[in-house]
Amino acid sequence: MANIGIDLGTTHSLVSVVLSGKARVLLDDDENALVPSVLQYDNVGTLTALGTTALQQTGTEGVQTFRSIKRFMGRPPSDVQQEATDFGYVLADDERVTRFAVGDKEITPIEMSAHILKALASIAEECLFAAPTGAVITVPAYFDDAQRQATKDAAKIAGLEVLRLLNEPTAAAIAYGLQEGNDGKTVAVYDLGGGTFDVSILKLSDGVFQVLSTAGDTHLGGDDFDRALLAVWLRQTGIEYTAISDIQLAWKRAEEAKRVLSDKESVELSLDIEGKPIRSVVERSVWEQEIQSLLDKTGAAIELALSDAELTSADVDEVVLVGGSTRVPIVQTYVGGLFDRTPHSSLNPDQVVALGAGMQADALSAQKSMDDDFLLLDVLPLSLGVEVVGGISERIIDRCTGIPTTATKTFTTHADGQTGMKIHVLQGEREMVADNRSLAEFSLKGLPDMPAGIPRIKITFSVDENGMLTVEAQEQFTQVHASIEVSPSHGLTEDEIEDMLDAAIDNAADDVEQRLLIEATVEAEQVLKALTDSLSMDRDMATEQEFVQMQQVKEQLEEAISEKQRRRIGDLTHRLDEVSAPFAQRRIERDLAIALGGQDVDHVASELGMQNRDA
Amino acid sequence: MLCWKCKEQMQGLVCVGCSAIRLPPPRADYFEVFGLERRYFLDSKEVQSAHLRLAKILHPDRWRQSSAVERRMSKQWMALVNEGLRVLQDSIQRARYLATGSATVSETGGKMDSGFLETIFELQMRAMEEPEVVKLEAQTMLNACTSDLEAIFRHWEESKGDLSMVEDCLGQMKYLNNLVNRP
Repeated sequence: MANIGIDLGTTHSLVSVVLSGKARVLLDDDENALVPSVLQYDNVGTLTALGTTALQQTGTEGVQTFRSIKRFMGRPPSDVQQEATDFGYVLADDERVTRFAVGDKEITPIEMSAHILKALASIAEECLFAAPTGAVITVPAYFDDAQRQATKDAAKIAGLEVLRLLNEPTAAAIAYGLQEGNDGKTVAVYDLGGGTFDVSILKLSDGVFQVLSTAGDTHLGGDDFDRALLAVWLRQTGIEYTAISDIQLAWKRAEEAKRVLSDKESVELSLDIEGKPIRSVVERSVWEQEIQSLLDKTGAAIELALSDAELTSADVDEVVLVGGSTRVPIVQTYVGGLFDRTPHSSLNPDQVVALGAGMQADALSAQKSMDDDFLLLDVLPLSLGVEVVGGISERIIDRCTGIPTTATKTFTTHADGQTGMKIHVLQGEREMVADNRSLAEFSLKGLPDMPAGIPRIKITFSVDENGMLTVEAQEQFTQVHASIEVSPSHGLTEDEIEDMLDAAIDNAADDVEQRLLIEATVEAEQVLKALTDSLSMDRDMATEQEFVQMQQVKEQLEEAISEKQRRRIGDLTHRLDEVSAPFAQRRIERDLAIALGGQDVDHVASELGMQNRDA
Repeated sequence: MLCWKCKEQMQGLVCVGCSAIRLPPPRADYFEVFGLERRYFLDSKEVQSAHLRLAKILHPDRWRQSSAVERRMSKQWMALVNEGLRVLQDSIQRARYLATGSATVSETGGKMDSGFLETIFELQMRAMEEPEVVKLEAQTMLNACTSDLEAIFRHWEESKGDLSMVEDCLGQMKYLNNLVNRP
């Protein structure tokens, strides 16, 4: 059985395999290598087409088309609201996980990606006459842990074993580097795809591909070039974006117009406004001005990657262009200017990442002897850290650290007798917590009862060769391997994945809905019970207004439970949590004060970094 | 050392008899693992080529077909080798590692001389009004610290001198660095 390489791209995806020692991209029934990453759903939320068909039927009456869903992978709803609106997508009402409202259903970008992966796997199956065993799937080098996890989850739902998540520029370097005569060279890979941008600096030596540094932007690519073209058109015609009749069709036409501009000085773009076609000619030079700021962003990333590698542009021997967007002439000129040399583009920029993935999949296959394989040494793209007092992010592992790697830091408690601790795991380069990506919150329980500052909690971060993080914690005095609860901040839970897996196999959507309803009900009942208990004990600690409000929400929630309205149950559980928070806070402070033997509550509260709401 | 798998005598990272990976040491000496002399003045190229040599043998991809135990060991080895590269390539971390046996700041270490702290405080105050002047002064002091540090290590390498002053020196450099790199 063969292992396959998959380039799961923003605008299109490919699958490749090594046959008789040579990597090739596999073709679908219509001899196309590129499968457009486009899905089409009918108005009840059933997938009706994928790939070329879905792309061609964009704008058809009664269907909803989804493209560029990679931009939504592993991102919280709050981050992608604007983008969803731009693409004409409606987000479901969920604060934690991004879901699209499609007909009556809510579908995550992860499930959509799983459909694309399945389609690619079946192309491979038809070409190889056997189902592929494992897959190397490429991701933008600058993908954070949550985005990588989302990709892995998609593969799991698609029933594929992930041999490796391979960084896209590294994959491209493999495809280029295995050609003769590159030994000992330093290579910069500039990868500008449909929705993501990466730059990686690599050193090739004696069969080893060593990534020295990487930088990029997971929200910068051809889509933004299309958006710029639309912006020019709107400005010239004086029309509002919201007046466009069919947003999906407009994006498709803008993309086609962009391609024309690679060869011609101008292009006429026609869009339907209130059912009538409106035309305007966009000059290449005007559009190029519009995208200059995007190019400068890529330039800044190159500077960062060079400085992290402790190199200057003169130290780079080769520059490789990857990704369909590097076909744009001004991109080639811009990159050539930065490095003062003509960039390489001898391999097809659409296929080079998939080819590299196929080669890595082959190198990782079980039948091969390892001596003649090449070896890949990659780095962590973004620093990892934890939240410390004052909303500051304290780094534990710096970006561009070679992976796999581990690092340890010791923390302690802030209050006497504190037996629990919340650890907030962050990824990013900024100093403040709020400016970084929240990966997970860990609750550490069962700490020994000791005065503040005495327990020593050793937190160990381990990053594996896929660039993915696991965290462990141990209290040093008691050697208690304290229990850790991982709750991915904006990813799918293990249960949710299981549900999707079941749904994918059984195709029984009702089952999933049923399970989700049970889960929501169980959670709601727990919250209700806790509140009833505390009110029966400490009714006097709630203000009259709070009490009335809590009672109201409580009754609504009980009603939602009896009527089995899942979404409403979730919303109201959350609401009940919110309205009872001041009351709960007061009880905690009281209990703390008792535990500390009558110390000033305000003092204790401020030590804990809590706000006393009554003060 | 005996191989954990076949119990035969083994040298190097892989057992000649049964091809098992060597047991990763719980507390490794990076210089020893990299096969380098315990020195402060290192050739960065030598560190890098030692790292590559080790990676080629120990990287988890090389142990994919082995047992789960060995795959885990190779991961531990590679994490250790990557950490070693980080420490040995960075002059500050390398200095601290040689002086204290650990590359990270210890809780007890770095007690600052009160005279020095006063100087820093005064510089910080003045940095509000004349940032460029203060930056230059801090840079001069930093350069002095760096040459002190180098002198300590030169003495140590030549005649096994004392490294007890290294931590203080590094502590001061940290403060001065912050002043120099003030935005």
